[in-house]
Amino acid sequence: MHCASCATNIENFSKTLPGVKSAVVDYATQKGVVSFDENITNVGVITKGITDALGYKTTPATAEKNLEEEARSYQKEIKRQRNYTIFSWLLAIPIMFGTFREFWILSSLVPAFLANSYVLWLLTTPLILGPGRQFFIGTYRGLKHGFTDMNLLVATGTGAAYLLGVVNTLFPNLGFGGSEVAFFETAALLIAFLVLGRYLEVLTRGKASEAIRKLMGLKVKTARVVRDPEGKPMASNGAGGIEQEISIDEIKVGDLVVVKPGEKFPVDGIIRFGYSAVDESMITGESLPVEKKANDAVIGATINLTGLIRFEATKIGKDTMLAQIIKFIEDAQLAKPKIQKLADKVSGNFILVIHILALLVFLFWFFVGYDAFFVSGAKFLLSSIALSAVPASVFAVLLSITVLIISCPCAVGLATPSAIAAGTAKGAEYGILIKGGDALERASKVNAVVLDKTGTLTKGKPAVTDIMNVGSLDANQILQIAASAEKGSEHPLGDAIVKGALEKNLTLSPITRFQAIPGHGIEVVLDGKKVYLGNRQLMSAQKIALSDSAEEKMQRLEEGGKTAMIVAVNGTVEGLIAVADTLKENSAAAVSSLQKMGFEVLMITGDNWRTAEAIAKQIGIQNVLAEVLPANKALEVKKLQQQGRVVAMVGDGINDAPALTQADVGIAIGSGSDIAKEAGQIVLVKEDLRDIINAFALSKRTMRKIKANLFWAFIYNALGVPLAAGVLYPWFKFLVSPELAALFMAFSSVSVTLNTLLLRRYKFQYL
Amino acid sequence: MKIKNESKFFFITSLTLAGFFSFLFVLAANNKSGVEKFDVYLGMIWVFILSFIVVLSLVHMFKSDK
Repeated sequence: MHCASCATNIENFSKTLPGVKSAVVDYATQKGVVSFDENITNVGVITKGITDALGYKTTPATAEKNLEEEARSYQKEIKRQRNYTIFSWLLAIPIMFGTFREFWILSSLVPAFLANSYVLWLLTTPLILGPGRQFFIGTYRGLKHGFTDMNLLVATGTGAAYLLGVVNTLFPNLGFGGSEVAFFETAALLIAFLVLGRYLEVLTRGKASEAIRKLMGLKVKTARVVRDPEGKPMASNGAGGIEQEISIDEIKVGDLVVVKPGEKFPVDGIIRFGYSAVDESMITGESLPVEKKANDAVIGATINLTGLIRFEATKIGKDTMLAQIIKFIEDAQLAKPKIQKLADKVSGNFILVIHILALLVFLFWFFVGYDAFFVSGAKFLLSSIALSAVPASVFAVLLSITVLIISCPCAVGLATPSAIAAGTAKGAEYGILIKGGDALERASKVNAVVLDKTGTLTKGKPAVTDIMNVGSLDANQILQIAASAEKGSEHPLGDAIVKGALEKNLTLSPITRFQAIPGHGIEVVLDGKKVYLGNRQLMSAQKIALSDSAEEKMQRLEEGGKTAMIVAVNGTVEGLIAVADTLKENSAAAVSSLQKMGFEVLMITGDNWRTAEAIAKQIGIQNVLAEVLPANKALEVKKLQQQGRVVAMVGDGINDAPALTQADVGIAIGSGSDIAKEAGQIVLVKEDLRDIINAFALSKRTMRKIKANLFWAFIYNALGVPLAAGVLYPWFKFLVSPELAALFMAFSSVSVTLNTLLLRRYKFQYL
Repeated sequence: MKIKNESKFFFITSLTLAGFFSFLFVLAANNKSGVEKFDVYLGMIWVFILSFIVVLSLVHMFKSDK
């Protein structure tokens, strides 16, 4: 597909096919979804129909190899359009200098031979046959299959300009203005600007499918299963079975799958044997490994960190959580924003309107205008060249072509991609990566911001926040004992305690015995003393009493959203250590600024209400959505959208990916998972939440720039088209030459580009 | 096959209508005084090209709306 109207063509055509219920085609991802009645039609008939009727190559989306193929062809297309752009401008600049040599002050710098129409012809021809060929091929294919697109307007304008150039060069006395008025620069500049526009467009396109490619990359290709000697699944502990490595596609529901430490779980399932810590960060976004034991659920693509696990496969293929996340993102990407549909319709009608106008201009001047107003010797605007006594047909065709050329949508085509390129470049300079115009457009309309808690507002890594003594030891002694005890532990909470002690330069003592009690804590022997570090259940099991004041302090810590651990030495509780996720430096400032700017700010988290509210209170957020399962985050965002809000979701984990995609704008934090970054339309590299405000400000400014650009582009048409149609001719006896029309057209593109460049001066502010 | 035929039909319809408009143009141009053969030929070609594009766009639009 070359443009948005191609997607509309395929979409509309697919809907007319028998048995097709609905069709959505997305130009950006080059993908489409067609729902159909299986009793009436099938995939083969639909794809063949599209190819036969419209000429587009179609491939049913099935496997990863398609994604690799897609990535390869995308890179090839970028390279092709880049080479076309370089080649076009290398030729278009000398053609422009040669054509306007006499008008320019710097004419002495331009060699005279460049102004020769044969030289201009020689330079223009490879441009038309090279980079320009795609527009003619597109037009031919379109006409052959019975539809029109922007290629047609470009082809009519450039084709007519080129042919007029050739006629004027070969037959200067035919009455079209002679060899002095070659139209080669018109054709050359048109192609050069349009190829540049197409290059900019192709650069931003295709990013959308990166997220899915990365998610696909998480998939495991093989799995080790235990089956009975007959090859049937074994749902028990696998005793007597044979372990065999099979392809992921061969796993059946009920298979007993073996996963060694360091390996990924191939599919979703339930642990039947073993105990381990599992890194679920790639799916849930939570940085802390989760302890898993028999009967706990495991998710495919997560990593088994410590122990050997045998689990029963419960969900395979398209039912796994990973497959569902992929599907969700794919579906969301195919949902078109309203403005795009409108733009598709306008661009489609633009071609028709201009051609009708050109036809009316021709008919008017041929039948009425020529006889009523034509006088020999009329001047072309801003030119010393006079129009000779041309016949009515030549006069009318000349005006008609001028209308086509002056209406060529170069500036309109450049208005949006150039501003988007400038806006995204400006953002990148400040570590704000924005994926395309859609994201910018939607970000400019946001009125509600949903912030994920872990890893977004907080650092996502636990740290020691409180040390309370309830016995004879002081805080440092409590921390030293706890850190010494936890030194051998791989538990993330233990890590936080050890780090806390090292930060205070405390020396850790060696331990003589270490025992982890899963789900409760640890027991160690330190300097001959028995130390317990863990939760209430551990103390209760060891019959260690917790005083009322200690219990009160513990409850206070827990109410603040912290994980409190009890330190007991030789059967006496000595102190409490609280570990919690801490806020990022600028979280509160960013939230406060967003609220002041009028955004509705909400916090979303899978954590319990107590922790969530404690964090929200610290930051100053009133609206909290807590205990939201990863899969439901997107639903919560959807609910907000249904209430009429334009939602920006800020998150960092894979579990946020569906919500990031569902939101009008997904903003991913740079430190988060790659998947979240790919699913988000905006990525904050610096992790500074104040960049959310900068991203919104930049998007608003870029949208204003796009609107200004479109205004200028259309104002040229609004003023230029009547002039080109000869409205002033009856009174002032002057015309706009096709050459001047091309200059107007080029100037409108230049003015749009210059207007866009002003965006570079924009500076971000950190409040 | 049906699809291919439909496209062909629209293409031929557009060509026919463009031809018809060119014919109307020739009729009108011939009734106008002071018009040379060259004027008629050039005008006929130009009307054919533009009206073909216009009709094809209209047919396309009609198909889309349907």
